[in-house]
Amino acid sequence: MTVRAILAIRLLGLALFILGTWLLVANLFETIRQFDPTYAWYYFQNQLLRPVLAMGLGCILLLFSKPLGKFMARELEQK
Amino acid sequence: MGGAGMVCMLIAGPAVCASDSTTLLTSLKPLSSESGLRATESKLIPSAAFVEHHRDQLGSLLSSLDLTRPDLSSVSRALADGDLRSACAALLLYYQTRPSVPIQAKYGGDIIVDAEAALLNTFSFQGVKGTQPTASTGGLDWEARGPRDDPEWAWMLNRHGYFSALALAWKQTGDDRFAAKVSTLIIDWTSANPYPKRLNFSPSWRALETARRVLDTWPLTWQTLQDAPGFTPEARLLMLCSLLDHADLLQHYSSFWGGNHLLTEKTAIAQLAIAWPEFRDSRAWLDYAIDKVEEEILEQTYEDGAYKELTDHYQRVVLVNLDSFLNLCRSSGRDDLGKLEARMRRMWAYYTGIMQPNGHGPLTNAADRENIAELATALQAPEEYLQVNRAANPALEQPQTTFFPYAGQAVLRSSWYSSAVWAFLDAGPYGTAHQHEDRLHLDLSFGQQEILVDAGRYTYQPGPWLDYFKGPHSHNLLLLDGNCAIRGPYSTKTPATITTRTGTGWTYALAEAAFPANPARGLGQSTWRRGLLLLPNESGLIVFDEVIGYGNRELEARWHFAPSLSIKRTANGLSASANGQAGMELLILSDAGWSPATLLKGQETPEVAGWYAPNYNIKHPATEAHFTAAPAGPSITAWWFHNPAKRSNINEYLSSYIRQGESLTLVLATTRNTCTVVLPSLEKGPSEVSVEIRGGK
Repeated sequence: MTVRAILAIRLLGLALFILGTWLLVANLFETIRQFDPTYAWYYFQNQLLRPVLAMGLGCILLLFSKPLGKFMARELEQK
Repeated sequence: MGGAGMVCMLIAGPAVCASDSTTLLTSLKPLSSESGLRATESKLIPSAAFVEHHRDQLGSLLSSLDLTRPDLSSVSRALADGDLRSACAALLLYYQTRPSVPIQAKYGGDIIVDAEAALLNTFSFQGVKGTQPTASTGGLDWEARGPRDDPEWAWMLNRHGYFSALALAWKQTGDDRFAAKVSTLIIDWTSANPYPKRLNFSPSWRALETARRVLDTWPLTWQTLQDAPGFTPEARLLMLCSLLDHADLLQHYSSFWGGNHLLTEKTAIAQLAIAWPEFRDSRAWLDYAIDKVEEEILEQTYEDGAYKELTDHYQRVVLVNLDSFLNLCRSSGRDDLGKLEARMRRMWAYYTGIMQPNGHGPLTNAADRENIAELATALQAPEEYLQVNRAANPALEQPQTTFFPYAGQAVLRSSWYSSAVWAFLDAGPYGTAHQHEDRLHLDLSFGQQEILVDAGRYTYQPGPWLDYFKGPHSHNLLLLDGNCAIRGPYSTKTPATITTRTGTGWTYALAEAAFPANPARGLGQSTWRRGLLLLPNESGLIVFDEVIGYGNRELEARWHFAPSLSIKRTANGLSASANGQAGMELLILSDAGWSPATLLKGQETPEVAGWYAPNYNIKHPATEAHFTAAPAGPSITAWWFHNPAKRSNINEYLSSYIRQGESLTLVLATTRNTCTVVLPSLEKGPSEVSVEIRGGK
C-alpha cells in the first residue's frame, strides 16, 4: 500500500511539475517581448507566479513522496 | 355643525351636544337597546351584526387601550357596563374629537387624478398604470402583480398609497365617494388578508409593506377622514384592530436580516406609537423603536455618512425615514437623540457631498434619478450642506476632491458653482444590498449637463434587462477578456485607499482594482489603476486607465452618455452635443491601439445595450460607446473629456502622448490654449498641470 501511495504522489508531483513548466514556458514565449522592467513585479505576479508555484509544489511532492506515502498509508498498513 | 357635533346630536339628542364628550358617553348606555340605536342611527355606531361578528377582535382592541386615560373614561364606562357596541362608538367619537397628532406622511402625486382612478381600481405604481383585477369574493385581488407581472406592483398595492390620495381628495372636494372607497378597500383588505402572525413574504403582510402603510398612509387617512360620513364605523374599527396586528408584526416578525427594510419597519413602530398613543403599549413601542433605530442606524451607516448599500436611492430612503423619525420623536418630547442626530448630519454631509452641480445624485448601485438639492431644502438639511451656501463659501471655490473613505467614493469638483465640472469615482465596497458591478465606475458632469452616467436600475425582475442594468455593461468601465474588475467586499470596517492630490487649479484621485486571474492559463490577476484629473478653468477631465496585463488580452472600454446627448465619432474620439450645443469632446491619447468607437443606442438584440433608466420601470435609449484594444503589455490610456463650453475645440494634430515606462507626458492643444500634463506615474499623480493661452485671450 505504501508503494502505491508513493507512486500516486510522485505521479501527481510530476504532473504538477510538467504543467507548471508548460505554463511557464508558454507564458514566457507569449509575453517576454512585452516585458518592461518598470512593471517587473507585475510581470512576475501575472505571468510567472502561478506556474512557478505549480512547479514548486510538484517538486515538493516528488522530493517528499516517500515520507508522505508512508504517512498516508500508515493506517492501512497496520490493518 | 361639525362632524362631532352631528354625531353627538344623533346619539344623544341636542340637549347633550352642548356638554363635553364625557357627558355624551354617559348617555351611551341606553344605546345598547336596539330601539335606542334605531332612533339615533349615528354614523359612528357600528352595526350590531358587525360587532357580533368581530366580537373577539373588538374585545382585544378595547382591552389593549390604556383605559386609565381620562379621555377614554367613556369607553371604559361603556365596557364596564358590558356594552361593547357603545364602547366602540365611544372610542370612535373620541378619535373624532381628539386633537390632531404629529404625522409625517405627505402625498406626492396628483391627488384628484389618482383618487378618481382609484375609484375605478386603477392605480399607478413606479411609472406603470394598471387596473387591478377583482377576486372571486368581489373585492380586489390583492396579490395580482399588475401589467408587467412584477411583484413590486403587488407590494405597492398593499402599501395603500392611494388611500392618501382618496382621503385628501375627500378633504379637497367633500365628495363622499372618496371616503366610501377607502372604507370599502379597508373592509375588503382586512377580510382578504387576515394577520398571519409569523414572518411572511406575502404582499399584504410583508414587513416592509406593513411598515409603509403605517408610515405613509394610514395615519394620514385616519386623521383626514375623521369627519367623513363615508368613512364607516366598521372600516374605522377594522383599521384600529389591524393596527395591533401591524404593531405585533413590526416588533416580532420584521426583516431580521437588517437593511433599509428593518430601519423603515422600526421607524413605523414609532409613528404608530405617536399617532395612536391611546394603546397601553404605545410608550413601550416608542422606547423600543428609539433603541432599535439607533442601533440599526449606527450599524447600517458608515462613519463617513454613507448608507452601507451604497445606493443614492436608499441613502435617500433611510435619510428621509430618519428625518421623519427624529421629528416624530421630538414632537413627542423625546430629547435623548444625540447619537442619531450626529449620524444624520454625517449622512447629510455624504449625501450632499456626492451631489452633481444640477442637484442630482449619481445612480450608484440600484438608484433612481433624484434631486438631492430639493430634498435637502425640503427637509431643512443643516445649512452648511445646502448647495447655495457652499457656492458662497470662498473656501470651497477651489477644485477639490472629497473622499468618503468607507464608501470608497471620491468626488472631484472644480467649485460649488452651478457651472462646475464634477466627477465621481466609485472604488468602494460592493454594498450590502442592491449591488451593481460597478467597481471603478465614474460619472461626469459639465455644469448642468450630465455627460457620463450610470444607466440606473430599471427593474428587479430577473432577465436580460436586469443583467444589463445590474451588470458591468451598463457602467463606465474597462473589461479585460470580457470580465469586469473584481468587486469589493460587501461592506468594510476599514477605510479604502484612494490617492488624492490637489494642485493649483487641479485635483486628482487614483484608485486601484484588479481583473480576475485565469488559472487555466496560469495567469494571475491584472492590475487596473484609474486616475481622474480635473483640469483647471473647468476645462475638463482626464481619465487615466493603466492596465497591467500581458499576452493576447482583449481590453474593452464602455462609456455611457446621458440620453440628452447626441454622440458622433471623430478621428480620434467622440464629440457630444445637446440641443445643437457642443457638450463634450473626447480625445483618446494612448499606446493601447484602441479601435474606433462602436456606438449603440436602444439596442435589445443580440444583447441589451444603450439604455438609461432614470427611474424604476422607465428607460430611455442613450448612446453607449464601445472601444476595444489588444495592447501589447501594460498600457496607459488618457481619455481626455474636454469641456467645449470654455469656447475652445480640440486640435488633435497638435496634441501629443509620450510615455516612458510609468511616466506620461500629455499635451492637449485646443483652439485657445495648450494644456500640458506630466505624470511621473499614476500613483504619484501629476507633477505638472499647466495651461498656456495661445494667441492671446
